[in-house]
Amino acid sequence: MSLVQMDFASGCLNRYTTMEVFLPDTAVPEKGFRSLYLLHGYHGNHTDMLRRLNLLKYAEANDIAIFMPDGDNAYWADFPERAEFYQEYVARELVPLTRRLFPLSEKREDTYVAGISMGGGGAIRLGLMYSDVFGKVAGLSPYLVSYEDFDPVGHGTNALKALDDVLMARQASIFSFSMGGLVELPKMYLTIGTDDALLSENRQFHEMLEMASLPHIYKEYPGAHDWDFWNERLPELFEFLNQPEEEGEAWLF
Amino acid sequence: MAILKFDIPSETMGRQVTFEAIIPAEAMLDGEEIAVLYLLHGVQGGYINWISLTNAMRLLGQRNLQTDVGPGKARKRLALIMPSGGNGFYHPIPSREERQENMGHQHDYEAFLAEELPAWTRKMLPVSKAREDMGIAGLSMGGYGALYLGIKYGETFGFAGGLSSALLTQRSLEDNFAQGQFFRAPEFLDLVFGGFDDHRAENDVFRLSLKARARERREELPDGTLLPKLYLACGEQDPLLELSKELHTLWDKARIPHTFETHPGAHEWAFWEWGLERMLRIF
Repeated sequence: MSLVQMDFASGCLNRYTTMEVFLPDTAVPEKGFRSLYLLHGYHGNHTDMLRRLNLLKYAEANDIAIFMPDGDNAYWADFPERAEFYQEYVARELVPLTRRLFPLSEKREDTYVAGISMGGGGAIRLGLMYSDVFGKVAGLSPYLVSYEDFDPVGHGTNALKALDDVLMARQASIFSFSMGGLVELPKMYLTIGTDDALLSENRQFHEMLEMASLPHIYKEYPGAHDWDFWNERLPELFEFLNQPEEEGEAWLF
Repeated sequence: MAILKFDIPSETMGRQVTFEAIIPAEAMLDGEEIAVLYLLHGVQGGYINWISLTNAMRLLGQRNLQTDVGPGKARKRLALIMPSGGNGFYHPIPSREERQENMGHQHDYEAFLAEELPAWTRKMLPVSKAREDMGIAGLSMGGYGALYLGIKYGETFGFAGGLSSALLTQRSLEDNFAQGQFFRAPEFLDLVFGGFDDHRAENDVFRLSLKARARERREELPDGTLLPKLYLACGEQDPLLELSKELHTLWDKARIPHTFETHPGAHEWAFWEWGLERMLRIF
């Protein structure tokens, strides 16, 4: 298997940053490799997924290039007062940069974002806010701020609020008859352990998705907020990423 | 500019191999192709040498800012790729004839550098397919490696550069061995060169270049059809200077186009940094 550690200058973060990359050893498909942007959790860094997950065992069998950026403890949010824009960095800088450098598919349906804990919340929010970029989103034990707390750190870290914004935009577009306002949402996979302190927020988010009739996969399993739980979810994560696009599915809102 | 450390499986080396690259990734445009210069290290070195002991990144940045470099310009932006070659003079070790099935520790540096690595970098990175956009250069043992590989695989490499090249002849091999400079075991010398008496003729830079030149003449091919653009330089205080001068004289006699330069300096990194800057201009 091929691994790359890449150090480079980021405009959105206003500094040099680091990323780990997994490249498949298979032949490059005509349209390019599919790509997964995999976001780490709080207290972690870009090496977490390689050190603490059995990721490569599952990655090897697929034609998916995996990009593991470093996101500090920043909730994958934007911090204008520090000139660090993590959301924009992943969706608007990293995706084009990696596509220019490596043989990747440029298609939305071949571009995925996923994460664990803080990274899971970030992935879901990125998927909702940049639904033009990502075709699939996965959150493992995602950190989703409860609706009551709304936006505690004040930097748009709240995935629930992001969902609310999308729904509002949808309403607005229906009332204005603006086709340009239609948003195609990514497919979503959420999973959480029943012993996880984030369980209630995840249930609340799941209910919101249900109420809004947004199709998604939501799975609860026995387990806590730890690497054992996330390792056990990997087969299902790749199964979700490998699901073919279904014809005429109602993912357009 | 981005620094990338690669760890990839190699069929010709029979193992995972590591190499480093400096790529102008952040500045690249959609669909932009880049040129590549492979840089080979010397004896007792590794892929980290060029990046840690020279100003390679800054020199590359200056080169890529030259007015004739960039998308739509005469020259493409350039990336440097720095592989590791052990102490094997970039030969197949042991030779392909001596290789045995299922014997571990057999490394075909020649096939790795001349075939597998160029193919892999073109597969995974937006590297131009044109011969003139792929070069190979090195210092000391790597200078020898770059010249013999660049000339032997002239259809792949459009540029070959040797700094303080260890252009080994039977005489210099015997001298080096007597002084205990490179090889601590006579068996290893046999593995790399096939012994004193049988210095692998097919990898001899003098003979390879004459052979390619003779074919260019015989087939009435334009200069440089088979031979890459050649660069040769050596420090004025370097004991290897005489070997480079010998090659320069031979190339002059055979009317092989090339650039030969000397500069104050010994067998040392200050000189190789000077040489890198020169090669980045010329390539």
